[in-house]
Amino acid sequence: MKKSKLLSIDAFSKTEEDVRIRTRTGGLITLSCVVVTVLLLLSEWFHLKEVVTRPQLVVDRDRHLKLDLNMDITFPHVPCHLLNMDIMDSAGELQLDVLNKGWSKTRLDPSGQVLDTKQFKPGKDVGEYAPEDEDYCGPCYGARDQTKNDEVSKEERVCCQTCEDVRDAYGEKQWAFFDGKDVEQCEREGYVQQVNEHIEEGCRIKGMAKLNRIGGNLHFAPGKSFQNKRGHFHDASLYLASPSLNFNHIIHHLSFGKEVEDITGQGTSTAPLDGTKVSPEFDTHNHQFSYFAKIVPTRYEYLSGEKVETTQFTTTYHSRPIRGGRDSDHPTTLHSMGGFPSVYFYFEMSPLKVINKQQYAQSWSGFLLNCITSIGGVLAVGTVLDKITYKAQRSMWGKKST
Amino acid sequence: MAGLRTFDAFPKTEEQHVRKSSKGGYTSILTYFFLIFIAWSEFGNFFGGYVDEQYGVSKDLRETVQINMDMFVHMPCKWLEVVVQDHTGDRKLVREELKMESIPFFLPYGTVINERNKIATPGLDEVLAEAIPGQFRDQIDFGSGDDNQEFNGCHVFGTITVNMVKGDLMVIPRGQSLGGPQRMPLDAINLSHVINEFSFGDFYPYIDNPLDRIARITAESTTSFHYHTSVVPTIFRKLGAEVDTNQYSLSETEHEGPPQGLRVPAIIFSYSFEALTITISDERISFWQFVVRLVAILSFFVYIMTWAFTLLDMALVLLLGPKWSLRYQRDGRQKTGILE
Repeated sequence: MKKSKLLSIDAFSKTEEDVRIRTRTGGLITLSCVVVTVLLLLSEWFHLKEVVTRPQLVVDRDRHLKLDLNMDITFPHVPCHLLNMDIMDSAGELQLDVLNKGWSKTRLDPSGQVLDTKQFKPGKDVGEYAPEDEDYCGPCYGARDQTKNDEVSKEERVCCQTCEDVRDAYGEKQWAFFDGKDVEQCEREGYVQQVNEHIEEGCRIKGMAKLNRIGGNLHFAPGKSFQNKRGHFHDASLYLASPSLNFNHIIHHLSFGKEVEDITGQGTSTAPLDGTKVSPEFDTHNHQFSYFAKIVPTRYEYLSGEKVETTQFTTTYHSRPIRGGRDSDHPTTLHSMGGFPSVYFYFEMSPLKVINKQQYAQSWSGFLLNCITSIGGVLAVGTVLDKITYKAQRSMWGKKST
Repeated sequence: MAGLRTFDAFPKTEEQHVRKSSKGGYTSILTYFFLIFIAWSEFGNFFGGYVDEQYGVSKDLRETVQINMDMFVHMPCKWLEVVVQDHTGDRKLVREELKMESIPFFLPYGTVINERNKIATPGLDEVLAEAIPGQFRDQIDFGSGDDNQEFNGCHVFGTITVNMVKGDLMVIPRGQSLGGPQRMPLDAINLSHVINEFSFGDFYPYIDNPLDRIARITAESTTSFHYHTSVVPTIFRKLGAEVDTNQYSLSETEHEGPPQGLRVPAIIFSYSFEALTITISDERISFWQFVVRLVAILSFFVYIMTWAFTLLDMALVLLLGPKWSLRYQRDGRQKTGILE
């Protein structure tokens, strides 16, 4: 292609230097444009480095995974030896007496001060009180049939050798055991005395358990739990006989998954009940407290590539007297009757999962485009400003002023 | 100070060295019109903002929620009982909270009869415009005994506070549900009804809900109606205003005979609450971002137009010759030199 041809299609035509006019105002505008451009480019750089969280909803497919329950709760008016926790789900799976499976129990005095965190079990060690008579067969007080003991061999006899055996026998019959008073095994072991000594204490419990990812409940109730075809029961006799006891509580922590750092800016709802204190003004000795939790599986995806599977939940609170009927709180409500004084946590899984994903506010290509746009915009404004000031100066002061 | 001139990146050219043409003028006018249009459009976008939807899980410890209802039932009030029963085991005698007044049963104008409401999800602006809080009026005594044949209906309306757990609100012929002494004859039962309002949370009478203004008419005394609602807490935000509402999805069934667990037909509203809360908010970019964006778009457009004009001119000159040039055509007003 000839040089003249190339020249004819040059879209970037230049003006000869000797006919171009440069002005001081133009210089000032240029410097201002440079400063503004630098500021805008810095702003774009910070925007590039800015991290945002974008939530998305998916269907939860992790049904095979277990749910971690983490709990730290204080009952200021229920002693540790009386407190029991069971977990039941809609598939029929039962976890009874969970607190004796690796959970820590901290005894508290009536003013809430820590006594100790050792596992307190009423009674002495079995070896300390073993009866002198080797042929000893402890009575079960009618809870088990011992009428044929004389006719069978020593090994086949039905005996209740320890206080615990008598309690179990009473439980099978669903009889009230109270504090074991007048039960010779319990008197001998010191069970009765110790139970009554500790009855005014409180208890703080802490631990974790695994739950199935289906609906169910976990509950704290007084006394040993029993399960049979008629249902789930607790021997609450000692609790009911002690009017000073109640299930007022402080939830220090409750979550169904790992603790995570909030990246949404709206606060996480992984442990919304933390710090909840339930201590009504009225007598709650015969009250049942309930929390209905709807659990939403949540995944947090961090910039580092780390992914944390946890859950968030939202809760509805309810309380009722176990005698049922109306109360001063709810004058138009008839509460259902039955149950036992307790704290229930009902949980239900959501089929949806929230994914909170951390990412940069913009991509590199977006950053480059914005930089070019900023530079172009500033130059365009500079050109317009320069033209306006040049023409204004020309019209006001004539040719020589610039 | 003279050194400043060397920094001038916008050098000017004396007027006599610049050639102007009428076609360039037309192009400039066209460009200005486009610039005004783009600026106007961008201002509209800026002030209009954009709708951002977020979903989260509420951290609040909830206890109760309001149900706002207003309905006509084709039965005298003395035979009607309204009961709420929920998963806590509580049974609420709603008659003590609701207002019930005898009326001649009728179908208000605009009611959808025996069909689903054609309701679209209301938009943010619509909700904010209609989110005027209301409350139900007091009960009116029409001064007529229930013996008056004209007063064959019952207006049931008011606000009920229920536990925020899964439950059922039931409208049942009186005496049948609680085994009371007085029982209405089964053949006199007619559960034809009109629902004027059924909503959850704060009462905003002007916001449309799926059950508002529908009628279900039946000639059978054994027909039961069951409405299943799933409630989603929804927060609408715009320019500092916030409206906390509850939207709900609806499915309904109608069948002959009493529902399970009851001895008589009933109108049942089953409700459950979703864990996720939707937040719909009106967002807008900051004013400075808007200014930079506007300037960038306008300058880019001017630049494109300059290029388009230059390239078109070059194409015309190359293809059709210099006399077709857009830039260097002589205008009648232009001074001619001595040699021309």
